[in-house]
Amino acid sequence: MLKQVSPVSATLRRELYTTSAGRGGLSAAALRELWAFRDVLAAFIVRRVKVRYKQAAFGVAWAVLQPLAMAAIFALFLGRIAKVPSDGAPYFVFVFTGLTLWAYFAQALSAAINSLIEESGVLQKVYFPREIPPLSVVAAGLVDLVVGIIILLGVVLVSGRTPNIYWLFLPLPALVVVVTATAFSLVFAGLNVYYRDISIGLPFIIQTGLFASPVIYSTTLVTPGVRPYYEVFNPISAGIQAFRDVLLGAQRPDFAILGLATAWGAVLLALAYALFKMIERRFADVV
Amino acid sequence: MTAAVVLENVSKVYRRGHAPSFRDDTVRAFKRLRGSPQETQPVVEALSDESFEVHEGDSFALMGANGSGKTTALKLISRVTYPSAGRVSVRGRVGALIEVGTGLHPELTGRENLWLYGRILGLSKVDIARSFDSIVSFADIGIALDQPVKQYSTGMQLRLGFALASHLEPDLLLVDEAVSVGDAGFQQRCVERMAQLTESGATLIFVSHVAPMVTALCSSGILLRSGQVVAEGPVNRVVSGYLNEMSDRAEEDRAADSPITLRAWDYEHAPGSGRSIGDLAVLLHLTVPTATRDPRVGVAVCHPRAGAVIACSMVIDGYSAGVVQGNVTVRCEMGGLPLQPGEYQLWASIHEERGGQYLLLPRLLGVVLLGRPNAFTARELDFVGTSQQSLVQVPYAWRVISDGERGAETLTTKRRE
Repeated sequence: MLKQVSPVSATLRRELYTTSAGRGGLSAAALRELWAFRDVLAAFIVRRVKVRYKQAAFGVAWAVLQPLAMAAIFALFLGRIAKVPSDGAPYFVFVFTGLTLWAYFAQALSAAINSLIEESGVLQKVYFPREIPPLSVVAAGLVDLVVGIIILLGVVLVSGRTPNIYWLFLPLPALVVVVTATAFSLVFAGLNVYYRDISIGLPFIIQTGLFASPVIYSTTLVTPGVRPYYEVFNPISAGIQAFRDVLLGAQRPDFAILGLATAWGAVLLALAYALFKMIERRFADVV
Repeated sequence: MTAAVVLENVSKVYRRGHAPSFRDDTVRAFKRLRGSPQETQPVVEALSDESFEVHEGDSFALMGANGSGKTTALKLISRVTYPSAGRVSVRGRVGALIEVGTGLHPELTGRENLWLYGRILGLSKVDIARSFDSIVSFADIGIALDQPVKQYSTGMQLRLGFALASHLEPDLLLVDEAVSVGDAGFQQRCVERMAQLTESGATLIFVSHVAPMVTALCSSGILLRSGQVVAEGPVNRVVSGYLNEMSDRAEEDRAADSPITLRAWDYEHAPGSGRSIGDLAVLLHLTVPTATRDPRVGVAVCHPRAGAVIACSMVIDGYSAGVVQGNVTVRCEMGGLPLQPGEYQLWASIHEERGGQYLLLPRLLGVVLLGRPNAFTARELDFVGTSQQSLVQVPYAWRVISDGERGAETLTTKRRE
């Protein structure tokens, strides 16, 4: 009835793991471990993508329709009625560029914030690096982002613009947005384990973010002296502005700003990761 | 010998009371900044400054009453939670069955869980594929394998959880009392599987309240009481420490206002050869405050499910002790108990001379392990409950008679039917 015990594979060493009391935080060991668990991260990502497109009747359509509908509404009220300046481009194309990147950020954050609580059963019973659930959300959202950018390029082409060499730079500003989204997702997912009221406050935070980023208005509206700081310290705005420079203005993105914003985004990510590794130690106790 | 698990001065403290709130924590942080005195938070110490070691290949028992820190110890070893102080070191891959579901994800199907859990344990696809069939046949959940785990019954979750934890080549297997949720047949297979794993060199840490199961599976262990190790060493010592603790608790619950008081009790046990449990003597140390004529003492050996299996009673046999007063010892000797080895309860009571009123209300003295524990095998334990075993054991012999030999009438009769 019972099968013979398969021998413990010789290829796998019996590694020694030690956990001890302490603060935890950012360490090379934490990153090495995340790398060792890359298969698990991959499994979580695949699962998220599957669930997302299996459950939602419209599948990919949702990811596309939502920003398009939002852009249409903004174009009607802000473009037509309020006549908000849009750097010379049609307001619809202008706002859709911003919304494509913003939608990724907002959706990643709202899904990530509950990612740890959704896994509470598993968290209390099996060990794996705790950053895997929020990271998998951010990564799974990339599918939507890529689809969104393809639609955006289509909209830009339809609006009469021709592709130019700078389009090749687009992954860079997209990366800035992804890095920022990762940082925020880690912090909010981690804190939400302790303080559930944070997820209640999230819609407000996201709305505030929408107005703090140049989604529906142009960065040219920002006081010139403040603008560089604004674009660097809100990496999303650097990303959106670079997209507009390339797609609408057909010009080279501002690499200085983009570089600084990337660096700042990386600092945010490092801080967020360090904070996450500090507070993860009590996840299983309070979740 | 290499250690598979080492706990060094480990404490684990949980915050007590309501969930953490942002407001409270902010207020506390401000108070700390201002340097004003802080009220200390109520905490529960689930483990306090404990150290122990489990060697590779050992089968190790964690015993103790509910809330003594067993599950906390398992969670620390499986790295699910961190120690508040001290260090926990674990060598190798850990398969853990803690609280039924292992690490099953409710939204995923059994099959998907299998792959995910294998990856979490660090196995390659090839490794998982190799274990796949044995897991599926062990769990024996049929077509449910392709249904989400949230639709599973507790028993099915347990089956899949145990199959996963024990078949994905763990170096260390942690199993808690959840196994007792399974039916008798499944429990037996679990015991066999755990024994198989330790034979092949894996380490087992087993939490259970079922003394015979622990004795059969484990060679050593520790006994925990309110987060502290109160006994450690060979499994017999741990198990008897546990059983005594349990009967002490039962004793405390009972208000002793009988005319005769039981100061202490003891038993002497000479295990018999073979399958019966041999001779047993029960000693009752009594205090009789007033001169009493012929107190009728009763001693019973009870089985947890079957009830009283041996009763020795002065009410029935009419034994006369005469007039007794002060401290006396009553010794009841039972010879050649035809019972199978296992866990039994000893009860005592005292009636007045005519057998009417109680002088000492019936009480559970304790739970004792009778018979030679080393002679146990999983099949002989009472929790298996199959038709292959019985509570009462008598000497018996077999004869198999072929047709054509003398005395084959029975067979001939049968053929005629």
